Amino acid sequence: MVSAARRILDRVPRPEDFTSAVHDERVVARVGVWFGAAIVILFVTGLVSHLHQNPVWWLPFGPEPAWAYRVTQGLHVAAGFACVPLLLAKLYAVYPRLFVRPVVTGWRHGLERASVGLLVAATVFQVVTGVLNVFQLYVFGFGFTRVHYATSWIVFGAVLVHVGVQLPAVVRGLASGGDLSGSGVRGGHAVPRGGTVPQGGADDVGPRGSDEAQTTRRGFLGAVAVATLTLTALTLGQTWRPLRPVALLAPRDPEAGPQGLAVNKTARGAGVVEAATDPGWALELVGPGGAVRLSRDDLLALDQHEAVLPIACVEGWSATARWGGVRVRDLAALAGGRPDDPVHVQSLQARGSYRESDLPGAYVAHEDTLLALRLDGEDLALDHGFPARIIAPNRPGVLQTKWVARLVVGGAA
Amino acid sequence: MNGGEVAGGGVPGWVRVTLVTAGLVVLAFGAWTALTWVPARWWAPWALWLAGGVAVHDGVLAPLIVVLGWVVLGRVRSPRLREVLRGIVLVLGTLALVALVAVWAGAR
Repeated sequence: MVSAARRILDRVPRPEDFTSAVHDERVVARVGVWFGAAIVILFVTGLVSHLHQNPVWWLPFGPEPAWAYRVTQGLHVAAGFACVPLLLAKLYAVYPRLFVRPVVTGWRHGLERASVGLLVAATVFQVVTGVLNVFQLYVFGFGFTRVHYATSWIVFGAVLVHVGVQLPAVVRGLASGGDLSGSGVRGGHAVPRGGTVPQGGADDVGPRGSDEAQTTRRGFLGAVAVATLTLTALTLGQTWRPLRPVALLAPRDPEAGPQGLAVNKTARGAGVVEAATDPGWALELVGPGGAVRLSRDDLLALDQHEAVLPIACVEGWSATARWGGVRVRDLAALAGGRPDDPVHVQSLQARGSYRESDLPGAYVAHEDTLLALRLDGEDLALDHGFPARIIAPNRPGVLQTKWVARLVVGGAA
Repeated sequence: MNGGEVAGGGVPGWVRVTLVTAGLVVLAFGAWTALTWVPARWWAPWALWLAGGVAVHDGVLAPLIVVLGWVVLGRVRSPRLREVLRGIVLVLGTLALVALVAVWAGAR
């Protein structure tokens, strides 16, 4: 039994068997810095999105600037896509380290390896499920948002531990041969200049200390850069219009949908077709002054305003449109509240995590925060939230509640 | 981890100790978030995807690329051509992975 296991282990490659200069410490350090920068962007922009949807009193977001969420979430998804080549390249460069012998030398080495395992598992998880999620492939068996949020802390913590442990190697890797020339070190082990090179490695491409090795290192880093930029160029068009013609791999075309605007959740998908098209629909407006019911005609008879605002989906696509409707602060006043009272919004949707949303006071007070009735001069399409929807500046799309049934002003019951 | 012992590369020990400590605190917060914010019925599929991702990468994808490099690049004499070929596999491979997901999404 033991000898069988030993025989198998003997057939597993060792780090020395990987002789390509791709696994050089200098390559690892550079790809690591790029990947680390992407992770910092992802963590910060992800927190912004989380705090929009789960506000805390000590860090409130306001409606200005209107484009902020569009930029942070567009950046989040773009950085996520960029992580596909960066993660693959990073893991490939350090792949030989998976095979170090002995497997574990002591408790410290064991902990370090465990932390790397956790780091790899968590980053692969975030990138894979994140990409699937923006393509709306909800195949996980768990709710994406909460798990993505919890895993982001694990990634960030594991990255800090990893950088702390590997910092000397990073410094060495970045310092030795800023031009990536000359002989050097790899995978944490110094290789003597002109030292012996193991023969017949799995991905052997020849002597390390040579021009050839330098070509390999530069070529690999160049390819990583090209892959990252190409993927970004082919996906960013879903939020940045100039790149829309080449958005071949973008999950969404933000202009494909009714009234030239994409839709995430259709009226059919939300199960509201009947309720939303009922001619007897009326908005229930509840406030300190009591409750009133306003039909669509009643709403259209109130002061109408137009606002040019982006709709920015958590899944990274965004598009600007011209919305028309009643200012929410006017409705708050009509219900006997103040124009900066928070407003709770309820949809006709019976189920779903996004059937309700809250507009903080600062949002209610903003002149562009509307109960929208019209889109680009026409009645709202059913899939855009007819008969009425919320649209406000600097707000995730999932909080721009559609098919509004009820507004509750200032915490009134 | 003793601050004086962890020298290396001219990096002060306290920098590394601070990073590792901060990382452990963040990890602890992550664990607390996992326990309090994620419903228990999602833990199993979550763990499965965490482990599955590593297994598929380390056990399938990476070996496939290593063997591909061994079979193809090992026979190419010109270092330039080798790097071009490696670059093509990296760029097209990445795009193909995302394209595959796009096709899957389109088929649903």
